[in-house]
Amino acid sequence: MVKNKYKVLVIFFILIIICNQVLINNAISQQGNDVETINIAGKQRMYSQQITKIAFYSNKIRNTSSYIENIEALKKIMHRFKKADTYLKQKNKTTYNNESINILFEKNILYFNEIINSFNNLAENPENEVFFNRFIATVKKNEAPFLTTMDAIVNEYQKISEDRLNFLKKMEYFFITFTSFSLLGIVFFMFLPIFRKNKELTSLNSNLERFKQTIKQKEEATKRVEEILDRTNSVARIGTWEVDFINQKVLWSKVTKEIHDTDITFIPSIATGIDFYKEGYSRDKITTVIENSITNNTSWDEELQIVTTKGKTIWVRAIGKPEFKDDKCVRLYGTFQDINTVKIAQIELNKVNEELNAIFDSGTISIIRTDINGLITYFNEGAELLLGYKSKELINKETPIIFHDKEEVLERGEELSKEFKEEIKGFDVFTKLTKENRKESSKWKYIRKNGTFLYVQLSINAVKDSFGTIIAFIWVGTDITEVTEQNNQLANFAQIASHNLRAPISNLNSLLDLYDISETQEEKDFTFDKFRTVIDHLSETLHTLIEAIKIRAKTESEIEVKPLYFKEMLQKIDESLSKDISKLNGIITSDFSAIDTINYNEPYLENIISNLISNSLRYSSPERTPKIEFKTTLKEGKVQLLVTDNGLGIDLKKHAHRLFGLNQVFHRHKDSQGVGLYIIKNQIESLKGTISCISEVDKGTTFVITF
Amino acid sequence: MLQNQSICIIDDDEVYKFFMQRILKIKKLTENIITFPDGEEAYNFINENKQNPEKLPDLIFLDINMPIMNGFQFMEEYTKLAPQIAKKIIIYMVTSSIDPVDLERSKNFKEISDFVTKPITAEVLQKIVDSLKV
Repeated sequence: MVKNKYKVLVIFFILIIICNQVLINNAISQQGNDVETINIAGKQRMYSQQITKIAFYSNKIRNTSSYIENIEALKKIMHRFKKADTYLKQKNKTTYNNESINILFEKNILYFNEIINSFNNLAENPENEVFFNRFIATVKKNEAPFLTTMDAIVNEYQKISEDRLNFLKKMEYFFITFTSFSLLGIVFFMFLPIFRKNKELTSLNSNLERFKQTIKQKEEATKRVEEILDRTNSVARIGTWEVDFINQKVLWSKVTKEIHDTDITFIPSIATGIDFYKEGYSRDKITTVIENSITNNTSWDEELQIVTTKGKTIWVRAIGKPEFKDDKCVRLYGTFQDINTVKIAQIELNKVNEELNAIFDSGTISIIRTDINGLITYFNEGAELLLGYKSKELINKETPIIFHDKEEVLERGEELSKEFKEEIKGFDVFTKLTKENRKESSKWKYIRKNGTFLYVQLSINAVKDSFGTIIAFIWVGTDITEVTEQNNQLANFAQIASHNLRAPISNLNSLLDLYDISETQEEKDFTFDKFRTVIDHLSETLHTLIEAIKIRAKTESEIEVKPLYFKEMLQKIDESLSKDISKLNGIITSDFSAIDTINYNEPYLENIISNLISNSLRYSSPERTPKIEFKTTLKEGKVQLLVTDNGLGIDLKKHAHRLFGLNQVFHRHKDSQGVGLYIIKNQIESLKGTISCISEVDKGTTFVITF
Repeated sequence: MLQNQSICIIDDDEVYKFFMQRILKIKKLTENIITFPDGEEAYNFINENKQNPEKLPDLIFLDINMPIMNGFQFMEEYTKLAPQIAKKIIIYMVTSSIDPVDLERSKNFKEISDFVTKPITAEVLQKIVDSLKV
């Protein structure tokens, strides 16, 4: 391409030079012509002058011998004159053909012809005076205009020649300009691309240089990364591997070989690779995933076991990926990591975790973790089951105080405050002993979400960090409600025995003392009368106790139950208590629309209802007409009976724990015996029901019986 | 011997109170006896007369199990009131209970001088009253 351009360029210049040469040559020959023509035209002028000169000289010497010589000379000049004239005319015709010269020549020919003709006549008769005179006259007459015309012709020629020279000059200028422009053009069109290319090349070069540098940097970085990878790989025990199906080659990295416990020179194959996997699950799994990968273009990431050449069984993480070309698997590659330590630890951990969870999730143990401020961070299934709260309701939201009995916490706080001689309240009540490195395991009341409660044996242990700082507390609570209830019953019987039976007996003793001391018969009789009171009281207490024991002694299945209508039952009791009710103008209302019947023991239900009515009447407010309202509801599938009065109410803050005890009375009332609630509670509980109480002093009381 | 100590009995047991009053009179231990059927009434009385030493008793026999306000509840209120009471009162906790829990609990109150179980014999009563005179 470039060569062709040069050829074109050279030819172009040769052509220019040739043209120029032709033009100049042409111009030179033209100029030569012109010079000759001008020269001859000038000679012609000179000849005409000589002719005139000689003619006049001849006139002077006409009578001398030299006259004939002169004529002879004149003849020669005439000859030349004619010759030159012919030449000029010829020349003009062939070369110039100039209009103005032609006209000049036509005019000149007249003068020329007259001179020639007149001389020809003379030449024939040189001695003829007439001819001679005629000739002189002709010369005189024609020489001057001839000369003038000849001058004009010479001028004309000169002008032509000058024009030609000017033309040449212009031509030369043109050539120079043209050549220059051509050169510039050539430079512009031929060399510019080269320049440009050069320029491009230069920038290309610098780019290349930069690229090289980048590559170098990248290579260095890669090398560094590879080094780091190598190091970490060997630390993390990550090896690589590759299976090239085209060249039938299997490559294992150093670490991969190390993991397999093979020699560094070991040459693996697909089959040997798979054979390393432990027989059974691991080998089956890897076989499946590889087959799947080759056919379906899928990757794998499996934690499997291999047996190394040293016979060690270790856990590895095998990650693999296929490479497909034209829908065919050409290569498999991936990593191979020794995760034995981690995996074994993980398996161990899982086992421990599972065992722990099994313990944690056992239904009767509540395990709660709190941070040092009391915020619940863990709430196990057992806790959910026992307390009725869901872990998400409490975690990071509440402290365990939410399900503790506030009175109990206060009481305990006071005890601790006395012991440590500082104010201990709230969350500290639970953690004080633990913080003091003392064993904290006490009986607590847990209040369920639905308001019912249970008793737990609660131990609180501290979780410490490596510096020994407490970071959390673990609350382990075991449901001891049943045990507590039995204990409570025992305690109740013990209390009955120690108080309710001992009191009258000690009274009997005292009265006996008094009887002895009494001096008069009157005194003795009076004292004896007191004996009767005490003995009556004693037998009544015994009767109640026996009743309670009888109720408790019966198992649920031994208690006869049948469908009973609340309304019928209430009517029956209303009639039997009508005297007491009408005495106080009491009003009994009922709403059994939610549920009007129950499968229950008849005497029990009768006793429950009549006792509650009696109680309400007994503790009715003297300021209000007694109103007793009976209402049934269904709660969580269980029948509830709500008995609400507008009586005196009970200060539950003070008496809640004694409410259903035997011989516990809370009002100054002559009929208070503290028996009714004790018996009905026993009856209700013997049939797995519960009784609770809501009350406000001087507003009224509601007993809730859940059957 | 001047037997003019004022003795207060807080108990809901009428027979017991009858016995106590009789013994104290027969044994001529005191003529000055006041009784209350429960803690609250006794507390109200003491509160009303806290600046009136002549009306306040020298000795209280306090029962544990009573309606309205029991012996311990009375003690809690009494402890709060004690700094304002213009008389040193000796309190005996009296109960038919032989429950050790009650005994332990009564030890928490430094105002309680002793714990006596029913029945109280005439001799014991004599000793207690006699100890006041020293």
